[in-house]
Amino acid sequence: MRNLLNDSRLSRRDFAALLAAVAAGSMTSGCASRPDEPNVVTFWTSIADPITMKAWNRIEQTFEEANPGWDVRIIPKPSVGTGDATSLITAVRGRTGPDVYLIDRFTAAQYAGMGLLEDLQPFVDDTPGLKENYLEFAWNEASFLDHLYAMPLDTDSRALYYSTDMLTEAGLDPAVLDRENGPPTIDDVIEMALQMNKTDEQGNYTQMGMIPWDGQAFWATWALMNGAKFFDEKTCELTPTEPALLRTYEQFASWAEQFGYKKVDTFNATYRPPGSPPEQGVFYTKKMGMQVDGNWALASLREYAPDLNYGITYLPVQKAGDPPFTWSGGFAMAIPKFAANPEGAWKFMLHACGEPGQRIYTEVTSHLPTYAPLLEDRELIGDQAFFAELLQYSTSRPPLPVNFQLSDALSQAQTSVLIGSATPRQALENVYNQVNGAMKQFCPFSLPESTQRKI
Amino acid sequence: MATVTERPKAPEATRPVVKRSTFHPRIGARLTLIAMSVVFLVPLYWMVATSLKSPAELAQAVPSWLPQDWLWSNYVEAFQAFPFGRYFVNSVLITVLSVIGSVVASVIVAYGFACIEWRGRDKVFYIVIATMFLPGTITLIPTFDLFAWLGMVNTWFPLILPHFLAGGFFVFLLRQFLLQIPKDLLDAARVDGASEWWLLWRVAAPMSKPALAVVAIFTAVGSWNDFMGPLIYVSDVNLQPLAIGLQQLRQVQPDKITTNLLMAASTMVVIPVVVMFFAFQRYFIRGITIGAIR
Amino acid sequence: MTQREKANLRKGLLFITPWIIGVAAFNVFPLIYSIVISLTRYSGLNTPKWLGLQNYTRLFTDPIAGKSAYNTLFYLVFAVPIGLVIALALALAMNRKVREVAIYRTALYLPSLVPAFAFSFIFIVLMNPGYGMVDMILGWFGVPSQNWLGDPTGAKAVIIALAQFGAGATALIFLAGLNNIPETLYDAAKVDGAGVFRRFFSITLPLLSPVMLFNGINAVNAGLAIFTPAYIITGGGPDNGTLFYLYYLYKNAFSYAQLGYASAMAVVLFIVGVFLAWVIWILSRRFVHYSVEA
Repeated sequence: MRNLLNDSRLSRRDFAALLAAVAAGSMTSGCASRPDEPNVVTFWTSIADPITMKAWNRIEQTFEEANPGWDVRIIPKPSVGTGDATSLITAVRGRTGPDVYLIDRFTAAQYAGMGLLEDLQPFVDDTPGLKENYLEFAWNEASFLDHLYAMPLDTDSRALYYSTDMLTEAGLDPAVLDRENGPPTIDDVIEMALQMNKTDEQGNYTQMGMIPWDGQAFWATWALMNGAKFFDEKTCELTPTEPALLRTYEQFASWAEQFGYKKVDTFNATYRPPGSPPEQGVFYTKKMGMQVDGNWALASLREYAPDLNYGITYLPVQKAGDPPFTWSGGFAMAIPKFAANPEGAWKFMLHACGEPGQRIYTEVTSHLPTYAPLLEDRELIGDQAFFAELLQYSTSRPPLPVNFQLSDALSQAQTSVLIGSATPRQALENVYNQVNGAMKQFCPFSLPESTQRKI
Repeated sequence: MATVTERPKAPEATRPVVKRSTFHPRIGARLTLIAMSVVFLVPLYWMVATSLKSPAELAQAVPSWLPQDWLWSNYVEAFQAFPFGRYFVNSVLITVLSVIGSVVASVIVAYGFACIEWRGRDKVFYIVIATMFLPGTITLIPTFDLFAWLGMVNTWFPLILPHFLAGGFFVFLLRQFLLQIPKDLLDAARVDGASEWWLLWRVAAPMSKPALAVVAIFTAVGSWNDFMGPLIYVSDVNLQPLAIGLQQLRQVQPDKITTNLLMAASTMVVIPVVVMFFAFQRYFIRGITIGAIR
Repeated sequence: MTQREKANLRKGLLFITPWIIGVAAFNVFPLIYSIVISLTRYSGLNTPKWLGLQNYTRLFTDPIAGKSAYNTLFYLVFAVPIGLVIALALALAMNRKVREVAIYRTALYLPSLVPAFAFSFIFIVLMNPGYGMVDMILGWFGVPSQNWLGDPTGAKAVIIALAQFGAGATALIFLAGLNNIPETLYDAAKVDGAGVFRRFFSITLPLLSPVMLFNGINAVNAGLAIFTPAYIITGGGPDNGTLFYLYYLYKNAFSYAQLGYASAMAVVLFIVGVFLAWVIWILSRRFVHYSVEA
């Protein structure tokens, strides 16, 4: 080797060696196996907005105070759409996953069935009296074949937010939407929304009353309201073409026509384009009159639009006199396969998803706790009281082991119907063709009892 | 047989054209070129212009051609809002290591194909050519598993190691160059006791410097621009290069990456490429045309 | 084999060792592994389960796979010919020997160096009806602003348009080819009274056909592997309108953990790629003229 390179190049060689050393150092630092760090817990969160990060940091802090010498590392991880866990799957396959992963609870069964998550049942069995503290539906939603795979964290419920100023401006009486009057009907709400729409000379919306398929007004909300079951235990088949779902998607089709899907889409792209700061949100800036949203929106409203005049009422229902309706979801914490420190992970989860952690999470992010005793704490629940009260009317999605794919497919079907590239029936038949095969491998399959009825 | 299109003129940048009349206006060609140049550069202009605007200005009904206030502070903010410096250093290191690997490995292998005569050599070389045309997508899944077994996921090895194993195209390109070295010259040196290794580094490599530059530049651009590799392999933010770092931050913390900051970051991604282009323009042009097989 | 031949064989193989390892790890192994895995159900987390050809039958009945294949075909049918025509037009214009050609060459080539991920960020901004430029310019002509990315065909068109900004590199290859056409041929044709079009179709195009073939193969290969802009700009939407084949393969492999199914997709794509290469090869023997020396 010596005569390869003459002396003048030695410095370059040194440089290269240095470079290689630096690179090698940083290449290995990301490794997951850390047997020498038994007191370190890595936690991946796909929710990393500033408000939630505040909550994580406080939960970390209180955990470390209660357990001197322990170190929790919070790492934001991307999630491409609802329930997506690409980053986790990839990392676990590469044996570089975290100790704790924040999972969208309705996908826990799917990822458990895939073999991505550790079975938490042994831990649960060693912790007597744990299960009794949690809302039953949330516990069941995080279970697969009667074993717990994720510790429930928060839950939520949905309602209709309306801007009193915009209603008044459009000549409507906000008092119509008063909670005292019970849930409004869908038709009335749509009628009001149309009256609040404004367009420019080109015909593009500059202000809208409501987008009845946007945000939390997506298929899940209307389908559950229509009583969708998604799955038939007897035949072990997915039922995307059941009447409730058909009705939901037919409604989407007619709304898309009524509002003009393209125009609404342009409105969205114009007034809430990618990369616009949160305080420019359309509801905050009075460009959107009403929206279906969850209790967590309260925290954002406090943060980004503290002076906005708004009201909250029940979700609209099909016909006058129908009982109030809402549905609940939430997140949970799971231990991925090949986690370096599962015991530490469980210790952290007991704190974060237990009383101390849920107290912080409820307060900071305005979500509802799944740790049932906390629901009784009126001071903690604060302005979420209405949402807590809604829980008695709430239902949830069945925890199917294909939920991520099913939800992905139903969302795509929603877009197809809105754009008009498929009829509701065609779109839903496509959903069946895409996902039912994956469901079949788990047959026969039975759902836990309490997620089927009202919570 | 494939040969290489050679363009003997080196830096054409300022060379006056001799052959045809230069005073004829050639209006059609000129107009086309001017119009297309504008079209091709305008996205880059818009990137820079947007990078200097405020979020409030971006929310206006009609966008402006020039920023109202030139917010150079966006660039500072971009550095603070996300770990731009770290992404940048990672990108540079990955690129440099890839270039080293690619140049060293390609020239060694090309030497084996061009300057040593061994039985079956030309038949094996057909495989080299074949690998150039094999669709690369089939390797996606198996390669991931391979690197997972080797414990290399979430490190830079999957991005760099393949370069140390010589790509078909670069071997092909360098071989063409090395074949031009007179055989007698090598044989004479061998008689004098020179080893192949010595010949490679003291004779062959120096003679193929222009081709090595092309290999280096193409590897650098490919490595700097690679998106899917880091997307699949590098999940640790401390190790991520610019490509995936910026995209994932957009997904995780969209409120941090407002449009003006994203454009400021993009501008800073593009600048090194532009600088590299002007520094090595000659090799870029040559590299592009050298690839054209006829 | 003589002693010397043996020594040479040993040396030769030693020099090409990196390449042998590379081919084994990144070509041979993936091919075999993909075929085997494609016959199983495998999540990458538990042991594979034998399925036979089920993944393949599923692939041919999966509506989304069909859509992704359609999207890719749509992309190829438009992006490849448009790209070649634009590049050829630019090359012809640059070949008119205008004096300041170096400026145009730089302007036209530079965008092709901008990383696809950065260009994707830029296009998100450009195409936005709020802060984008395209709708503003169209507005001058009375076109109401709209969200191009909200329409499946519009979004595909945007991604095809984005690809055209790489035309500068292709144009330079064409230009090199044009420079290799002997001037005397044109002079002779002029003497025979051939007009501009006649000369283009009888001289330029046939003699450029090898370069055309090279660029065509490159464009088709790039088109089959289109991924980054769709991932960044539209995430495969709307209505799966930009879910290209490789993107769907990626999703199956890395988001759904269906490695068997994704491998079946990879194998089919591989076969299609090899088939296309074969077709192009056959066509090239008919239509591509390799000899200039006449």
